[in-house]
Amino acid sequence: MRWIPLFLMAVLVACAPPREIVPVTSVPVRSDTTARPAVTPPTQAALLPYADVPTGRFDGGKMWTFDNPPVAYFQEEYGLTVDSLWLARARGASLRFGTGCSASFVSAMGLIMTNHHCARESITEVEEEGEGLLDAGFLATSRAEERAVEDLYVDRLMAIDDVTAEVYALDRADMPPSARAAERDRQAEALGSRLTAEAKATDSTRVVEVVPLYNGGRYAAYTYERLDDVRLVMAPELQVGFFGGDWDNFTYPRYNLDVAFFRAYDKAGRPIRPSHYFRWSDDGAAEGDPVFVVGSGGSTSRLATVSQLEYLRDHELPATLTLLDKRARILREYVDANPEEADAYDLRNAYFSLQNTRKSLQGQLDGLQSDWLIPRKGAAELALQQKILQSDSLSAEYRSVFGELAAVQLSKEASLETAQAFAFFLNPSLSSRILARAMYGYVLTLIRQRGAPPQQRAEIREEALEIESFPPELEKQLIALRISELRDALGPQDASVRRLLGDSTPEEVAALLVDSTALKDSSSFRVLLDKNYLTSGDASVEAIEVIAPLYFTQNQQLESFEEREQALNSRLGRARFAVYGHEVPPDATFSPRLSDGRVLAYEVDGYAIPPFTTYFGLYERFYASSGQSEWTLPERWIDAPATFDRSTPLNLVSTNDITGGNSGSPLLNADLEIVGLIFDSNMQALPNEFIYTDGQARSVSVDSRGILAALVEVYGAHDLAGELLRGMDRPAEEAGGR
Amino acid sequence: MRRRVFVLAVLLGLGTSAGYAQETWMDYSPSRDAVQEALNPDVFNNLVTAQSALVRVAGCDGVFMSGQGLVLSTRSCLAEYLPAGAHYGEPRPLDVPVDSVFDAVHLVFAPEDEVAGFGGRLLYPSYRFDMVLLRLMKADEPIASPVHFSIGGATAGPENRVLEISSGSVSLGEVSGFQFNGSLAMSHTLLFGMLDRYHGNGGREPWSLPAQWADAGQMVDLTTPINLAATTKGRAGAALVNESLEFVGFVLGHGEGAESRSIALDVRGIEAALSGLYPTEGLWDELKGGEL
Repeated sequence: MRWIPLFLMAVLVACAPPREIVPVTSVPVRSDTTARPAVTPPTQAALLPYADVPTGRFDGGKMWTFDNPPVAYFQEEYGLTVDSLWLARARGASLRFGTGCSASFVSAMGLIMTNHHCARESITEVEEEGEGLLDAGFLATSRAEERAVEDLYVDRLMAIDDVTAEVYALDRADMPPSARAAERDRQAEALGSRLTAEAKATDSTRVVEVVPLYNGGRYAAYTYERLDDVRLVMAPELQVGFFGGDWDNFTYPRYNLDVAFFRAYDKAGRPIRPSHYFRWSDDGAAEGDPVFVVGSGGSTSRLATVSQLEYLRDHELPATLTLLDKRARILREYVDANPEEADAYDLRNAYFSLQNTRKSLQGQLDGLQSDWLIPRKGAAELALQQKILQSDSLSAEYRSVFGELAAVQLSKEASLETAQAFAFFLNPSLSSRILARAMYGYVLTLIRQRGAPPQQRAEIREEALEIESFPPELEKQLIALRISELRDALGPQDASVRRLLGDSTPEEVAALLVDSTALKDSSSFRVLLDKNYLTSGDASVEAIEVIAPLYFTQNQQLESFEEREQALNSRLGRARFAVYGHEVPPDATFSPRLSDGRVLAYEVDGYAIPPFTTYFGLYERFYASSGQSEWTLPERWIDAPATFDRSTPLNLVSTNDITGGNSGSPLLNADLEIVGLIFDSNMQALPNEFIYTDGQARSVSVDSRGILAALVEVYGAHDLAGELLRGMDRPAEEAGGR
Repeated sequence: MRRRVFVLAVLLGLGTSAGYAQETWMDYSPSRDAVQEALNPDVFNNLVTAQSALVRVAGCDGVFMSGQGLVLSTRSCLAEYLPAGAHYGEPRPLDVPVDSVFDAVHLVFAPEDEVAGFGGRLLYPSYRFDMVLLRLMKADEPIASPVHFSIGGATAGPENRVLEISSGSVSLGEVSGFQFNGSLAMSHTLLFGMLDRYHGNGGREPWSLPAQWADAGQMVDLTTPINLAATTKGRAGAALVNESLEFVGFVLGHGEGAESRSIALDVRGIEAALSGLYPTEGLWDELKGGEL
């Protein structure tokens, strides 16, 4: 499902109708003032019990930026001298892959390695009718067979420039401080566009992104070379590339050949000859070895304050889990009762990925509820507060920020129930698609009346038409749930709720709506969308006319909280940077980082977890699972030749600091040779969202030896394996053959 | 306790019928009614008789596996009486406390320490080959043990139902996987997995293996189950049987941790080892031949 309603979200606030605004919450947000209260931050007393809790040197993480690598620490910890050449190689061979993954060059001929789960969309896109490449796997046996993936690109980082001063110079004094941070991010983005235009004038492959670091405390311009002719070379079958499915996600010991290969071509259609690529290690890694990850993690929340973490722990995460559970139950019941329809609508997968989201959030919540995480964050925050108070200038500027952040949490808490009643409204796997279509119809009608430019209308229309239908019985359940959540949040006496429900129950209203609306069918939806939907008389109009204004109001309020919180986060980021400088790396921002660690086993409840897994374990899971679909294997794996050594390492764990977006990152030894391919974290690493730890938290990689053995023994991909081992494709004398 | 079981064994060994009156001291789990309901009446009535197939040697629980006094017990429990390393071939007298029923105990088979204690603590998924075979002797002859377990279909009954029979206790449960570590632990572990742990830990203690186990793939099918998880009580030395009272596994103990389960050595693992990894085919034939 590629439908991401970003565009609609962007125009929602702009087109919120002023007529029907219903106050969703009466709790006032504290207004921002430039006069700082001259009192001790109110949260400091609450943190005092944590004063003696020991904190770790790397609690803030190890996602080092390339312009500030911890050279002395690498020397001290690993005896490794990181010079500019080492850094240039590490950076130059690493890639951002598409819009959310990482990758690396693994040969001098532009060969790229990333995860199978990063390649999934590409695999589906390049397949021809009836090929079913996701199930069958793919191997190009010659250059000509490599398949170009439309819209896929990789980015190679060329330069980093600190542009903090430039961005702050664009600050608009006419805006209230609470809105300035958000405006600053917009200015940074605009600066990126200007820099891109300048760079493109000399080299059309250049793209510049201005990245906020330390929550906008700093800004850096990242200049990339964007390569946009990327072709699929090899992908194993989904069954091995996603072995264990959503069940095994976040689990270790793990047995997943989550790898795929691509090749980048230049404008002339020749393979890229990258200035740097990573060589394949002959021996792989051993336990205790230092290992390095280069990749672009998406985001982390390491800079969050205790009040922000407590809000997540006590309110937002539990509430979100409850919402997910209710939707999971509806999906589960539907799938159980209607297995065939469920498969036709791909609902089983939707259910599993929902459970996976749940697993991830629960892991974060478990961390926040632990007896160590918040105390340790509290101790660090207290130390930061004290450092701020010790300096007159820092104190004047930043002392109030902790208390103000705590106040925002109270406001969010007060409006959470209403906010949750609209949660996931446009998320296609968790909410009614009839209501989503109705929302689009509503917006499109309104902006048409207001004379919005045709292109904007066309984009919204296109988004709307990408919404696929859900089975009507499922729609009834989801709409009834949404209405009952609204009723619970606003109260049965609320005017909107009474308009929505009349004397009926949510179930009755939902059933009537679904039975009579034309929006349950995509072609009749298209017809309605192109007419004036709001006057069409469709059964959904009445409901959406009640829901949409509430939704927009709610969004506006959320936006104002976010803006305000962002402003405070940004101030805090500046404070933190003023105190600690580059000693603490910034949160992940989908920009290339270098992270160090070691291959290391760990223990859970006395259970020793091995540092490596092998193909033997893959076969154990297959044979012991008695045919459960997540653990089935393709025929060629069941019948793999006797020469295939099942004791070859398949996955391994290390202490590198990674997060979503690092998928596909190379795992490198100290000589910058490939020893693995990052693809996941274990369960114990989920709280690393907030604090980096290495007691049990591990990143999980595919072992380079396992990749090579599969290529040679199972796929007969000798050319590809040779290219990895030699760093080149076939020697010149062979190249003409075949 | 030991004495009482033995009295019972002797009585029943002489051919006494089920002895209904004595059933009152049996502890049924989850309840007598539940156990009765799950079994056909003949089998249910035989549960008391099955008690006579249990034995204690040197403080360790074991089960009779043939009419010739052959007893299956755990290596870990009897460790202090056993020689180091594997033992098979000529029976070896053990210096253990004796009883009025037996005056000597011969060690018939023991695997190496490292396979019996593979992986350290007993936690599922486990891969332990923790067993010994003893022969109880009297006056230089194997004692007669007419009530003993037999190996039939060697698998759990419908819905994976199993009974765990230990001294004075019958526990009904099922062989089943469970949610563990964010995913599923499967109901059985396989020799494949044992080799995975061996190689994944680089063969270091407590994941070292003797050569014939490390190379097991050359001799036996690696899809063979070695341990299993069941929802029964998990008393070490108990017999795990199916609804026909056929022996399907030997309970090694109760796994620790949140998802605790009864952990048993799967009889198919015993078969693979005795008939494929050690020169002990004859012992396997004797185990297989018995009946209850």
